[in-house]
Amino acid sequence: MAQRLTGDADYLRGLIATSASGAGMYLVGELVRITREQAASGLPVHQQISDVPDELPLEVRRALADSMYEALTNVVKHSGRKEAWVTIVGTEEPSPGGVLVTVTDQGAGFDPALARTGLGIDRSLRQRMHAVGGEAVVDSEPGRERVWSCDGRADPPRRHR
Amino acid sequence: MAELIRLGAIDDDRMLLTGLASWLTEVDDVVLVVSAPDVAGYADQVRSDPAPDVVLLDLNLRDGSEPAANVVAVQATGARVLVVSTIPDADAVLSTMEAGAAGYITKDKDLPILLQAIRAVAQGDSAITPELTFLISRDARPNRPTLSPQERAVLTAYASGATLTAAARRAGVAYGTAREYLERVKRKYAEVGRPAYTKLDLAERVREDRLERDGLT
Repeated sequence: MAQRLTGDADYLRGLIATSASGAGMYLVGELVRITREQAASGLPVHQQISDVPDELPLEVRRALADSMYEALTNVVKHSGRKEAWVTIVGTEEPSPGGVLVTVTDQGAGFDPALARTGLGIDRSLRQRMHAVGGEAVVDSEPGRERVWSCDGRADPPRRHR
Repeated sequence: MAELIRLGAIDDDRMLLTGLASWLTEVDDVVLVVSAPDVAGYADQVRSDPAPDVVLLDLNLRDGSEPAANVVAVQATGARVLVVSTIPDADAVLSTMEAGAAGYITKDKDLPILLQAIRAVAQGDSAITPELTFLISRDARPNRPTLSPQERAVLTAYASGATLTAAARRAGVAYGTAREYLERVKRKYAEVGRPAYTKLDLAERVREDRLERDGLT
């Protein structure tokens, strides 16, 4: 019950922080769904939200939400940490109208499974974001904290790679 | 044993004050000596008694008083101020840092994290939480302090929930340097705010607020 209330409070705080941005409210809603109903259920998430643009194509929103889900699931399974940080912010670089979602755990002891599954998750996150013209950057080493940053935007810059 | 920290709390949420009091009964080094629903009520109570070492000040009190002016008023009693709130109202929080508050923490934190912040402030340090660094990292007001790229790198990493060790690693600086960057950024805010929040100005503001509240303007 207390956990449920905490979840509701987090959701409300998140909604207020979006300043009624459409994309922001979508992502906050997805974050609540992930932490409440899916694999990351019960994981306390410190959410920070700022300047999320209103417009963001549905496929980009979905890719960001899926990435959040994968990263948080991974935190629950492998980090041994009982909490995670999620920041959702608007970005102006390289072009305005982007949204950067960052999931951070604060590290853990070495988990042998992490070395194997970690790579798979990093790859799938990159593929997921690239498919919608976005980027995913993963800063992770076994035994240290991990950071997944996923950047999606309405009008993606062309990649020269 | 550590020296006893005398704590005050200013919040219009009675449940929070009661909860805090009962929370603290199990803590050896912090004792709640004053609690009040507003700054005037607090000032009345500390008039005869010595002021607490640290005051937890709710950011947006129900009386509509200005957060930064509240910080100055409480500091004028000799206490250091740790600002707390449920909603991180960015501009209001930043104004309290400019007014010289020692730190900011959201109310959803567990007791050990709150105690850590209270102890830091009691020692004369700042309570630079991830939520505070996040607000600073997103500060887009025209008169905001200027931050160096390195300060910004540490700030952004720490704001995203990284430990300070990891934030330092990512910014390519030593732990001690990262710690100093955070303190320096915090000081820049207090310096920007200093001219605006002198005691004289405060007296004027308090008087205006009171006249306004009493419908005399």
